[in-house]
Amino acid sequence: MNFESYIRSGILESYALGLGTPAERAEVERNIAQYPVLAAELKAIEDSLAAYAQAHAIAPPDGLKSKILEKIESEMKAPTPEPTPDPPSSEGGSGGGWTLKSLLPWFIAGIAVALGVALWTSKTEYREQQALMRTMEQQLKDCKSDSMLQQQLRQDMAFINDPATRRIDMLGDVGGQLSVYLNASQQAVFATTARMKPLPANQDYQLWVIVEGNPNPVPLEVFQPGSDPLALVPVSFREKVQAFAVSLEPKGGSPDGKPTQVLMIGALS
Amino acid sequence: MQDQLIQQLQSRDSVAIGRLYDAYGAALFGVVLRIVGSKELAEQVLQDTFLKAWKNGESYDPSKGQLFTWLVNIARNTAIDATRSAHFKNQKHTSDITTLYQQPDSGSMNPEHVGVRELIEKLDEKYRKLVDLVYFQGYTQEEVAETTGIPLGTIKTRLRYAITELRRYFIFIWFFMQ
Repeated sequence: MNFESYIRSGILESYALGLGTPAERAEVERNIAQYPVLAAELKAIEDSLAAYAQAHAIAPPDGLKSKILEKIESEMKAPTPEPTPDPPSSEGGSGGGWTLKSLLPWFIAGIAVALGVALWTSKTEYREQQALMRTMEQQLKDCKSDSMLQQQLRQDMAFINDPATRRIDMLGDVGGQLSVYLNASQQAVFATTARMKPLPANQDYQLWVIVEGNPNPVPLEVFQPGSDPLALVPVSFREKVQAFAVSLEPKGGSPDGKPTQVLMIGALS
Repeated sequence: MQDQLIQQLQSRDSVAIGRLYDAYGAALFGVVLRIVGSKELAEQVLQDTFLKAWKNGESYDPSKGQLFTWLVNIARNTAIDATRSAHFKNQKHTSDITTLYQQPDSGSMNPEHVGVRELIEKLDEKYRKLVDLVYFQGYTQEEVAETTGIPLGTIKTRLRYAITELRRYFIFIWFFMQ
């Protein structure tokens, strides 16, 4: 299938708008089930339309929600038969009254289970303690041998904890998660990129800034998801930043200086 | 969280309807109000929409589209049916379509969303109007083509272009509404 021309035909937009004949709709459903590329395309279309609708949202009158829920409650009570509760187990039920004799086996079984649990717990605890000791020993070794990494982490910690550093969490989890750390007095910006979703080989993420007085986003670094969750990735510094954004781009970054598809945005509050 | 909501919806749990109302009630009311044109009727349509969603919850299939798309399609169809039975369809439908398509929109946008307005205005008027007609007014592409005299092929191409442009900025739109 030629995905390009299929997408360009506009059939996915029609589908998202609830248009098209039943046959056309069934065909789209078959295709999105079979080709993830088309499913992703449809999702992007749906997201845009939903955002457009949200932008035009009008608050419904007060009390409508409870009216709807009441209506549902009353319909719920009406036709559907209540599921019957499980009948009580008949075994031993008719005799009425417990005798000491009938309880004895249960009592013994109870003690046996309790003993078993106690033994098992102490054994597990011992094993866990051993494992913890081993981990701590290993960590101690790692610490000693990894003083370089330690140094780096200390620097990063100092940067993050600097009172002038601002953390901006990106909103929108389409691409994963990303935070930007901006320190205007040090003129330094870093990002954590390890929690972004992996990309196909022909795509990259790109960071953008929106600066005061310029309505167009300014392109910054093109990147792939990082592998080290602790790593701070350096980002270019710009003055008067109002917001950062992440877009999905073809390999190498935006071809026309504009974001192709903005996935996430985070503003300085 | 979405998975849990879908499960509740599919098992006809009324909690799901409350959650859907909180998340999408206002967006759906905006769409419905634009189609039916009266607040009272829009209220009735929104109520019917959520009742239908509750009754048909088990038919929602996440592999075929997102929850909001499913809901907005129920809302749009319910609204169109309501206008038809309220028989102002013929007077309203054709007179509106030409004026709506030709005149610039005076301000259907939520005024407090100034950022959104700027962003959406980036979208050329003729494209934006088309999205509004189909998405908010419930016209089919064929109806738009017939009434405006613009070839169906052109309408389809423009609609696709319009949504593609929206995509560039949708997260900004979403963000500025928060």
